[in-house]
Amino acid sequence: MHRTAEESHLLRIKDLALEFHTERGVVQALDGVNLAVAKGEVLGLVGESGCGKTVTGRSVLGLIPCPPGRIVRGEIWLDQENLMTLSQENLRSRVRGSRITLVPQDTLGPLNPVHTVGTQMGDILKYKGRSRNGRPNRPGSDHQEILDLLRAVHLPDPDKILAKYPAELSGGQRQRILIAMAFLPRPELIIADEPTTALDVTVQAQILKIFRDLVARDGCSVLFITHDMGVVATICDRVSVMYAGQIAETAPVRKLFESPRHPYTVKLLDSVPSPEKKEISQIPGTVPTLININKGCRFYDRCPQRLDRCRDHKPGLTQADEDHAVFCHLFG
Amino acid sequence: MNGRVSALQSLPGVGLAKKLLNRRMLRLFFRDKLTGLGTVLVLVTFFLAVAAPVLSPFPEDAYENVRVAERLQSPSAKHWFGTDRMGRDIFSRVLYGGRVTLFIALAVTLLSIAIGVPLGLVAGYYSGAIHEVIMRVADVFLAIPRIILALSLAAALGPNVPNVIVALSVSFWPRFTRIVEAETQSLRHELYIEASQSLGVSPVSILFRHIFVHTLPTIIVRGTLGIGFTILLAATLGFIGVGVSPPTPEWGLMIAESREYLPGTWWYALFPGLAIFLTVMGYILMGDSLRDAMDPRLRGIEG
Repeated sequence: MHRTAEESHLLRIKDLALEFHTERGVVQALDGVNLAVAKGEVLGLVGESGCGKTVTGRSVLGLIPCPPGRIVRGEIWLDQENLMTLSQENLRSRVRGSRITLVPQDTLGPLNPVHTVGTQMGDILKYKGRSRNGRPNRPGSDHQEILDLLRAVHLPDPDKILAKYPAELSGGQRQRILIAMAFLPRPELIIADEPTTALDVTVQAQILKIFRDLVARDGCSVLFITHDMGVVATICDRVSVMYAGQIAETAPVRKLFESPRHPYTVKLLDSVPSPEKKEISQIPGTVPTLININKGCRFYDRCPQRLDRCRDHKPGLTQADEDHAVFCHLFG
Repeated sequence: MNGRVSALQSLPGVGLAKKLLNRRMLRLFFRDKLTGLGTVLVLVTFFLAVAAPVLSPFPEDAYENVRVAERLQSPSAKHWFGTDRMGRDIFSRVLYGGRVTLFIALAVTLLSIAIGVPLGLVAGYYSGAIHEVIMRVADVFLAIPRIILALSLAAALGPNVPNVIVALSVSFWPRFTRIVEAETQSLRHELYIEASQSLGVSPVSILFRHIFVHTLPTIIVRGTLGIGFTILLAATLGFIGVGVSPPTPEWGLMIAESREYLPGTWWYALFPGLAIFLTVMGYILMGDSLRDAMDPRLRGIEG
């Protein structure tokens, strides 16, 4: 049996729409988001703060608090399973922490201050790691596996690190530990939510390198959420640009940087500082509040090339190229 | 400088077992002489209670015994604390009274923790109906002053040790529920709790492995102080006559019996009273210093 290109994707988010019901009105946080991550691929998800990147990542894990959140429509498929149809209990015991893991942005908060790093890593294997991938189940193998992984993330003296409490480690060390923890149960998909934002550039570069190596080693897929175009260029295979809860454009990294189509992507790439540019260009205006937003393109107010129909008609998908999707009327 | 570094390391960070064995913490704990006194009092009263059968010169006097010829004698070499209206040795009865009192106080506190803490964790972690039901029930109990609730329950149940324990526990558990609920509410929004949720950790595991450990210092402090106040309350019930019944050697009951012989036989009321005073003070001083020792804001202050 031949699988279509679409089915070979590990994660498929189809037309996901999500609202938050607040006292000031309904916030349409996600509106028709389409994403697909192939096996072994790193997909970047870029956009400004508040555009819905993190919310997208959280909805894959089923961690949107309802209320106030409400998923209006859409499907989230992990391999052959529609995650939207799973109960919270099923998601908890079979998906979170085993098939999908998360690398959080903050480095201190996500580690419990009263348990040692070793305890917290050990717990993952104890509760999440065993059932999959035919691992050896002999005593001491857990410990060995943790040590190997700590070496893989370039932490010297892993035995000493394991005996320490999170507060005794530096931000870079903790980020390595959090990355190691995400890879520990050998997940199929890792959602990395701006894992390098809290770090300085030199550490950031090391961490990205480590991340790439581990992805290559395990062959897992990654949804890499970031707002840093430099990070995208370093680590991602393909990239989806998000604006105000909608996907604007999806393309392979090189193609997106060389020939961006969507006016927002063009402007976004213009805003990246570089030595050749005397002035950093900005996108005039601000991201609209997502309460009672207009029905058409959400970039309408700030778009330099807007058309009349952009205001009331939501742009559909246009294939600018075989692997280059744009949601914009200019190409429709 | 050294102090600052170690203060940083131990912010809320270090595991409890390690914490309790931490030398700096012990130093903080024994920072002032009153603390030392509190701990010594707690240890001494505990030892005297446990060793009462060995230490009492007249163990047979603890419960029912009559020696008419020796009644109401003042303190002497034979009867250090004098004798009571039945001729019983008050020293022996004070020692045995410690067993009764400490047993009641420890049982009440442990029972209240066992009921109050899990309810507080659950109420704090979940919102909605579960939270409302638990907290409103706790509020009802908290709305009635502890002594009045304990008094009416003890009076209704009848005077014996198990009933006193029930009466005092019923009026005590909501206090633990309250404080644990409040701490859990703030802890459940910590990033490490959200992180464990994203890892698919089970709610039971989150509550006990990740939240409970953070509430332990508060529970220990409140429990220690609570033992002190419970001793006082148990003695009050005994004094009023709804606590344990004679001939049980309970301190409050002994003071109640002594009333009709006052002020002449001063030793009859003085020694049980001193026993209550010293034991309660011991637990309260110790509770206070435990609070100081476990309060992260006071860490790193050399004293």
